[in-house]
Amino acid sequence: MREPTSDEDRNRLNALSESLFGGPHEIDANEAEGLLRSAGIVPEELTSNVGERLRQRADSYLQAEGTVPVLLQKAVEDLHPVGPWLESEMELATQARNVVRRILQQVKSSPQALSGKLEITFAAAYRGKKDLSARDKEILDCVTNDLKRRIEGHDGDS
Amino acid sequence: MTVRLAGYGLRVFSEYRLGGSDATVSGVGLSVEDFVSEVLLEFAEGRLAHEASRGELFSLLATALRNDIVDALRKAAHAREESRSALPRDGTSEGQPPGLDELPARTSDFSQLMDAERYRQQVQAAFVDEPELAEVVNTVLDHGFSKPQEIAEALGISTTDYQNRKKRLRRRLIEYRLVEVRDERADL
Repeated sequence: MREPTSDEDRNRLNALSESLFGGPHEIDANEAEGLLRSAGIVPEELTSNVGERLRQRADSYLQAEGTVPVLLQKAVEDLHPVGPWLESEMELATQARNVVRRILQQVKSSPQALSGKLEITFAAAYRGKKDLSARDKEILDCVTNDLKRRIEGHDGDS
Repeated sequence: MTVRLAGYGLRVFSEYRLGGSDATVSGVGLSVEDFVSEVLLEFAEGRLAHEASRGELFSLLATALRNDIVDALRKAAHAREESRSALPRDGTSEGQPPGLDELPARTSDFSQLMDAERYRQQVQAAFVDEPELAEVVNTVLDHGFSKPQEIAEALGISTTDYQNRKKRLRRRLIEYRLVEVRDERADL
Protein backbone atom coordinates (compact mmCIF):
# COMPACT_ATOMS: atom_id res chain seq x y z
CA MET A 1 0.00 0.00 0.00
CA ARG A 2 1.41 3.39 -0.91
CA GLU A 3 2.03 6.11 1.66
CA PRO A 4 -1.36 7.72 2.27
CA THR A 5 -2.46 11.31 2.51
CA SER A 6 0.26 13.54 1.24
CA ASP A 7 -0.64 17.20 1.00
CA GLU A 8 -0.04 16.84 -2.70
CA ASP A 9 -2.87 14.28 -2.97
CA ARG A 10 -5.15 16.49 -1.00
CA ASN A 11 -4.36 19.59 -3.03
CA ARG A 12 -4.91 17.71 -6.28
CA LEU A 13 -8.31 16.51 -5.14
CA ASN A 14 -9.20 19.96 -3.84
CA ALA A 15 -8.43 21.39 -7.27
CA LEU A 16 -10.52 18.71 -8.95
CA SER A 17 -13.32 19.32 -6.49
CA GLU A 18 -13.33 23.05 -7.23
CA SER A 19 -13.44 22.48 -10.97
CA LEU A 20 -16.35 20.08 -10.62
CA PHE A 21 -18.37 21.58 -7.81
CA GLY A 22 -17.03 25.11 -7.47
CA GLY A 23 -15.10 26.91 -4.76
CA PRO A 24 -16.52 27.79 -1.34
CA HIS A 25 -17.40 31.31 -2.48
CA GLU A 26 -19.78 29.90 -5.10
CA ILE A 27 -22.23 28.65 -2.48
CA ASP A 28 -24.46 31.45 -1.24
CA ALA A 29 -26.74 31.29 1.79
CA ASN A 30 -29.84 30.42 -0.25
CA GLU A 31 -28.20 27.54 -2.03
CA ALA A 32 -26.63 26.27 1.20
CA GLU A 33 -30.02 26.31 2.88
CA GLY A 34 -31.50 24.31 -0.01
CA LEU A 35 -28.65 21.78 0.10
CA LEU A 36 -29.11 21.28 3.84
CA ARG A 37 -32.86 20.82 3.53
CA SER A 38 -32.42 18.35 0.68
CA ALA A 39 -30.30 16.23 3.04
CA GLY A 40 -32.89 16.47 5.82
CA ILE A 41 -30.98 19.03 7.90
CA VAL A 42 -33.06 21.92 9.26
CA PRO A 43 -30.89 25.05 8.89
CA GLU A 44 -32.64 26.85 11.76
CA GLU A 45 -31.96 24.00 14.15
CA LEU A 46 -28.38 23.73 13.02
CA THR A 47 -27.82 27.46 13.52
CA SER A 48 -29.42 27.31 16.93
CA ASN A 49 -27.30 24.32 17.98
CA VAL A 50 -24.09 25.95 16.80
CA GLY A 51 -25.07 29.16 18.60
CA GLU A 52 -25.68 27.19 21.78
CA ARG A 53 -22.26 25.57 21.58
CA LEU A 54 -20.59 28.94 21.14
CA ARG A 55 -22.60 30.34 24.03
CA GLN A 56 -21.48 27.47 26.26
CA ARG A 57 -17.87 28.11 25.33
CA ALA A 58 -18.35 31.81 26.08
CA ASP A 59 -19.82 30.88 29.47
CA SER A 60 -16.82 28.74 30.30
CA TYR A 61 -14.52 31.65 29.40
CA LEU A 62 -16.56 33.92 31.60
CA GLN A 63 -16.36 31.56 34.55
CA ALA A 64 -12.68 30.80 34.15
CA GLU A 65 -11.30 34.19 33.14
CA GLY A 66 -14.09 36.64 33.82
CA THR A 67 -14.06 37.77 30.23
CA VAL A 68 -14.98 36.48 26.78
CA PRO A 69 -12.83 36.89 23.64
CA VAL A 70 -14.25 39.71 21.56
CA LEU A 71 -14.81 37.63 18.43
CA LEU A 72 -16.49 34.88 20.42
CA GLN A 73 -18.79 37.41 22.06
CA LYS A 74 -19.71 38.78 18.67
CA ALA A 75 -20.29 35.30 17.25
CA VAL A 76 -22.58 34.48 20.17
CA GLU A 77 -24.54 37.68 19.55
CA ASP A 78 -24.79 36.94 15.82
CA LEU A 79 -26.04 33.44 16.54
CA HIS A 80 -28.53 34.50 19.17
CA PRO A 81 -30.57 31.46 20.27
CA VAL A 82 -33.77 32.87 18.80
CA GLY A 83 -32.22 32.47 15.37
CA PRO A 84 -32.82 34.54 12.26
CA TRP A 85 -36.15 32.90 11.49
CA LEU A 86 -37.56 34.07 14.81
CA GLU A 87 -35.92 37.44 14.49
CA SER A 88 -37.83 38.04 11.28
CA GLU A 89 -41.04 37.03 13.03
CA MET A 90 -40.25 39.48 15.80
CA GLU A 91 -39.51 42.17 13.26
CA LEU A 92 -42.90 41.54 11.63
CA ALA A 93 -44.61 41.76 15.01
CA THR A 94 -42.87 45.06 15.74
CA GLN A 95 -43.96 46.48 12.39
CA ALA A 96 -47.54 45.36 13.00
CA ARG A 97 -47.54 46.97 16.45
CA ASN A 98 -46.27 50.23 14.96
CA VAL A 99 -48.99 50.25 12.31
CA VAL A 100 -51.72 49.64 14.91
CA ARG A 101 -50.25 52.35 17.15
CA ARG A 102 -50.31 54.87 14.28
CA ILE A 103 -53.94 54.03 13.49
CA LEU A 104 -54.95 54.43 17.13
CA GLN A 105 -53.19 57.80 17.30
CA GLN A 106 -55.04 58.98 14.20
CA VAL A 107 -58.36 57.88 15.66
CA LYS A 108 -57.63 59.62 18.96
CA SER A 109 -56.69 62.86 17.21
CA SER A 110 -59.85 62.74 15.10
CA PRO A 111 -62.76 61.27 17.17
CA GLN A 112 -65.24 61.96 14.35
CA ALA A 113 -63.60 59.15 12.42
CA LEU A 114 -65.14 56.71 14.88
CA SER A 115 -68.63 58.28 14.77
CA GLY A 116 -68.57 58.50 11.00
CA LYS A 117 -69.43 62.22 11.15
CA LEU A 118 -66.47 63.55 9.33
CA GLU A 119 -66.96 66.93 7.73
CA ILE A 120 -65.56 66.80 4.25
CA THR A 121 -64.29 69.95 2.69
CA PHE A 122 -63.42 70.07 -0.96
CA ALA A 123 -60.31 71.95 -1.80
CA ALA A 124 -61.18 72.70 -5.38
CA ALA A 125 -57.77 73.08 -6.95
CA TYR A 126 -59.28 73.98 -10.31
CA ARG A 127 -60.50 77.29 -8.93
CA GLY A 128 -56.97 78.68 -9.04
CA LYS A 129 -56.50 77.74 -12.68
CA LYS A 130 -56.42 80.78 -14.97
CA ASP A 131 -56.85 78.95 -18.25
CA LEU A 132 -60.31 77.63 -17.38
CA SER A 133 -63.25 79.30 -18.98
CA ALA A 134 -66.27 80.39 -16.96
CA ARG A 135 -68.21 77.57 -18.57
CA ASP A 136 -65.58 75.00 -17.50
CA LYS A 137 -65.68 76.30 -13.92
CA GLU A 138 -69.42 76.10 -13.94
CA ILE A 139 -69.32 72.43 -15.03
CA LEU A 140 -66.70 71.59 -12.42
CA ASP A 141 -68.76 73.33 -9.72
CA CYS A 142 -71.72 71.18 -10.71
CA VAL A 143 -69.62 68.04 -10.40
CA THR A 144 -68.36 69.19 -6.98
CA ASN A 145 -71.85 69.90 -5.70
CA ASP A 146 -73.08 66.57 -7.01
CA LEU A 147 -70.29 64.75 -5.17
CA LYS A 148 -71.09 66.63 -1.95
CA ARG A 149 -74.74 65.68 -2.22
CA ARG A 150 -73.89 62.03 -2.81
CA ILE A 151 -71.58 61.88 0.24
CA GLU A 152 -74.14 63.63 2.44
CA GLY A 153 -76.78 61.21 1.16
CA HIS A 154 -74.49 58.26 1.92
CA ASP A 155 -73.92 59.58 5.47
CA GLY A 156 -77.66 59.89 5.91
CA ASP A 157 -78.20 56.26 4.81
CA SER A 158 -75.66 54.96 7.31
CA MET B 1 -22.28 32.32 7.62
CA THR B 2 -23.19 29.22 9.67
CA VAL B 3 -25.65 27.93 7.08
CA ARG B 4 -23.25 28.60 4.22
CA LEU B 5 -20.48 26.76 6.03
CA ALA B 6 -22.77 23.83 6.79
CA GLY B 7 -23.88 23.68 3.15
CA TYR B 8 -20.26 23.59 2.06
CA GLY B 9 -19.43 20.99 4.73
CA LEU B 10 -22.29 18.83 3.55
CA ARG B 11 -20.91 18.96 0.04
CA VAL B 12 -17.45 17.90 1.27
CA PHE B 13 -19.08 15.07 3.22
CA SER B 14 -20.82 13.96 0.04
CA GLU B 15 -17.57 14.00 -1.90
CA TYR B 16 -16.19 11.52 0.62
CA ARG B 17 -19.24 9.28 0.46
CA LEU B 18 -20.92 10.55 3.61
CA GLY B 19 -24.59 11.39 3.22
CA GLY B 20 -27.77 12.10 5.14
CA SER B 21 -28.68 14.35 8.05
CA ASP B 22 -27.06 12.07 10.64
CA ALA B 23 -23.84 11.40 8.74
CA THR B 24 -20.67 11.39 10.81
CA VAL B 25 -17.08 10.61 10.08
CA SER B 26 -16.93 7.00 11.14
CA GLY B 27 -14.57 6.40 14.05
CA VAL B 28 -14.52 9.98 15.29
CA GLY B 29 -18.29 10.48 15.24
CA LEU B 30 -18.18 14.07 14.06
CA SER B 31 -21.05 15.54 12.05
CA VAL B 32 -21.23 18.56 9.75
CA GLU B 33 -22.60 20.54 12.69
CA ASP B 34 -19.59 19.50 14.82
CA PHE B 35 -17.15 20.62 12.16
CA VAL B 36 -18.93 23.94 11.62
CA SER B 37 -18.99 24.65 15.36
CA GLU B 38 -15.33 23.81 15.70
CA VAL B 39 -14.18 25.98 12.83
CA LEU B 40 -16.22 28.95 14.11
CA LEU B 41 -14.67 28.43 17.54
CA GLU B 42 -11.20 28.23 16.00
CA PHE B 43 -11.80 31.63 14.45
CA ALA B 44 -13.58 33.18 17.45
CA GLU B 45 -10.82 32.09 19.82
CA GLY B 46 -8.08 33.40 17.57
CA ARG B 47 -6.70 30.00 16.58
CA LEU B 48 -7.53 30.77 12.97
CA ALA B 49 -6.41 34.19 11.82
CA HIS B 50 -8.04 36.02 8.96
CA GLU B 51 -6.15 38.56 6.90
CA ALA B 52 -8.45 40.58 4.69
CA SER B 53 -5.73 40.79 2.05
CA ARG B 54 -5.90 37.00 1.62
CA GLY B 55 -9.53 36.78 0.60
CA GLU B 56 -12.93 36.76 2.21
CA LEU B 57 -13.49 35.29 5.66
CA PHE B 58 -15.94 32.69 4.40
CA SER B 59 -13.38 31.17 2.04
CA LEU B 60 -10.86 30.93 4.88
CA LEU B 61 -13.38 29.20 7.17
CA ALA B 62 -14.60 26.90 4.42
CA THR B 63 -11.07 25.84 3.55
CA ALA B 64 -10.35 25.19 7.23
CA LEU B 65 -13.58 23.22 7.44
CA ARG B 66 -12.62 21.06 4.48
CA ASN B 67 -9.15 20.44 5.93
CA ASP B 68 -10.64 19.53 9.32
CA ILE B 69 -12.96 17.00 7.68
CA VAL B 70 -10.12 15.46 5.67
CA ASP B 71 -7.91 15.33 8.78
CA ALA B 72 -10.69 13.60 10.72
CA LEU B 73 -11.07 11.05 7.91
CA ARG B 74 -7.34 10.45 8.05
CA LYS B 75 -7.29 10.02 11.84
CA ALA B 76 -10.26 7.69 11.73
CA ALA B 77 -8.64 5.58 9.02
CA HIS B 78 -5.38 5.32 10.93
CA ALA B 79 -7.17 4.43 14.15
CA ARG B 80 -9.07 1.66 12.38
CA GLU B 81 -5.90 0.46 10.75
CA GLU B 82 -4.17 0.23 14.12
CA SER B 83 -7.09 -1.47 15.84
CA ARG B 84 -7.29 -4.06 13.09
CA SER B 85 -3.57 -4.85 13.20
CA ALA B 86 -3.65 -4.99 17.02
CA LEU B 87 -6.28 -7.73 16.94
CA PRO B 88 -4.68 -10.88 15.51
CA ARG B 89 -7.11 -13.23 13.89
CA ASP B 90 -8.32 -16.13 15.93
CA GLY B 91 -6.58 -19.24 14.63
CA THR B 92 -9.86 -21.11 14.51
CA SER B 93 -11.38 -18.51 12.15
CA GLU B 94 -8.81 -19.02 9.41
CA GLY B 95 -10.50 -19.61 6.08
CA GLN B 96 -13.80 -18.27 7.33
CA PRO B 97 -15.48 -15.06 6.18
CA PRO B 98 -13.98 -11.92 7.73
CA GLY B 99 -15.47 -10.46 10.91
CA LEU B 100 -17.26 -7.11 10.93
CA ASP B 101 -14.15 -5.32 12.17
CA GLU B 102 -12.27 -6.75 9.21
CA LEU B 103 -14.69 -5.53 6.59
CA PRO B 104 -13.73 -2.30 4.86
CA ALA B 105 -15.71 0.63 6.19
CA ARG B 106 -17.15 3.21 3.75
CA THR B 107 -14.27 5.51 4.47
CA SER B 108 -11.81 3.14 6.04
CA ASP B 109 -8.88 3.37 3.70
CA PHE B 110 -7.87 6.95 3.54
CA SER B 111 -5.35 6.40 0.78
CA GLN B 112 -8.21 5.14 -1.35
CA LEU B 113 -10.32 8.14 -0.47
CA MET B 114 -7.48 10.39 -1.54
CA ASP B 115 -6.79 8.40 -4.65
CA ALA B 116 -7.63 10.42 -7.73
CA GLU B 117 -8.76 7.39 -9.74
CA ARG B 118 -11.14 6.26 -7.01
CA TYR B 119 -12.45 9.79 -6.60
CA ARG B 120 -13.06 9.89 -10.33
CA GLN B 121 -14.97 6.61 -10.29
CA GLN B 122 -17.13 7.70 -7.37
CA VAL B 123 -17.97 11.03 -8.94
CA GLN B 124 -18.72 9.49 -12.32
CA ALA B 125 -21.02 6.92 -10.71
CA ALA B 126 -23.02 9.71 -9.10
CA PHE B 127 -23.82 11.38 -12.43
CA VAL B 128 -24.22 8.43 -14.73
CA ASP B 129 -27.95 9.16 -15.16
CA GLU B 130 -27.44 12.86 -15.83
CA PRO B 131 -25.88 13.29 -19.29
CA GLU B 132 -25.34 17.05 -19.05
CA LEU B 133 -23.66 16.74 -15.67
CA ALA B 134 -21.68 13.65 -16.65
CA GLU B 135 -20.38 15.67 -19.58
CA VAL B 136 -18.91 18.27 -17.20
CA VAL B 137 -17.42 15.57 -14.98
CA ASN B 138 -15.78 13.79 -17.88
CA THR B 139 -14.45 16.98 -19.42
CA VAL B 140 -12.84 18.08 -16.16
CA LEU B 141 -11.49 14.64 -15.30
CA ASP B 142 -10.31 13.68 -18.78
CA HIS B 143 -8.63 16.92 -19.72
CA GLY B 144 -7.62 18.23 -16.32
CA PHE B 145 -9.04 21.66 -17.09
CA SER B 146 -9.37 23.98 -14.14
CA LYS B 147 -10.25 27.40 -15.59
CA PRO B 148 -13.99 28.02 -16.02
CA GLN B 149 -13.44 29.55 -19.45
CA GLU B 150 -11.58 26.54 -20.85
CA ILE B 151 -14.04 24.07 -19.33
CA ALA B 152 -16.97 25.99 -20.79
CA GLU B 153 -15.26 26.14 -24.19
CA ALA B 154 -14.55 22.41 -24.16
CA LEU B 155 -18.21 21.81 -23.35
CA GLY B 156 -19.34 24.24 -26.02
CA ILE B 157 -21.40 26.24 -23.55
CA SER B 158 -21.14 29.67 -21.94
CA THR B 159 -19.38 30.13 -18.61
CA THR B 160 -22.77 31.04 -17.10
CA ASP B 161 -24.18 27.68 -18.22
CA TYR B 162 -21.13 25.97 -16.80
CA GLN B 163 -21.67 27.76 -13.46
CA ASN B 164 -25.29 26.62 -13.49
CA ARG B 165 -24.25 23.06 -14.17
CA LYS B 166 -21.84 23.21 -11.24
CA LYS B 167 -24.73 24.27 -9.06
CA ARG B 168 -26.73 21.27 -10.27
CA LEU B 169 -23.71 19.05 -9.70
CA ARG B 170 -23.59 20.12 -6.03
CA ARG B 171 -27.27 19.44 -5.49
CA ARG B 172 -27.22 16.16 -7.38
CA LEU B 173 -24.17 14.87 -5.50
CA ILE B 174 -25.85 15.42 -2.13
CA GLU B 175 -29.08 13.79 -3.32
CA TYR B 176 -27.16 10.85 -4.74
CA ARG B 177 -25.36 10.21 -1.44
CA LEU B 178 -28.64 10.43 0.42
CA VAL B 179 -30.17 7.73 -1.78
CA GLU B 180 -27.00 5.67 -1.57
CA VAL B 181 -27.07 5.73 2.23
CA ARG B 182 -30.78 4.85 2.32
CA ASP B 183 -30.23 1.92 -0.03
CA GLU B 184 -27.34 0.63 2.05
CA ARG B 185 -29.39 0.85 5.23
CA ALA B 186 -32.27 -0.94 3.58
CA ASP B 187 -29.92 -3.73 2.55
CA LEU B 188 -28.71 -4.30 6.12
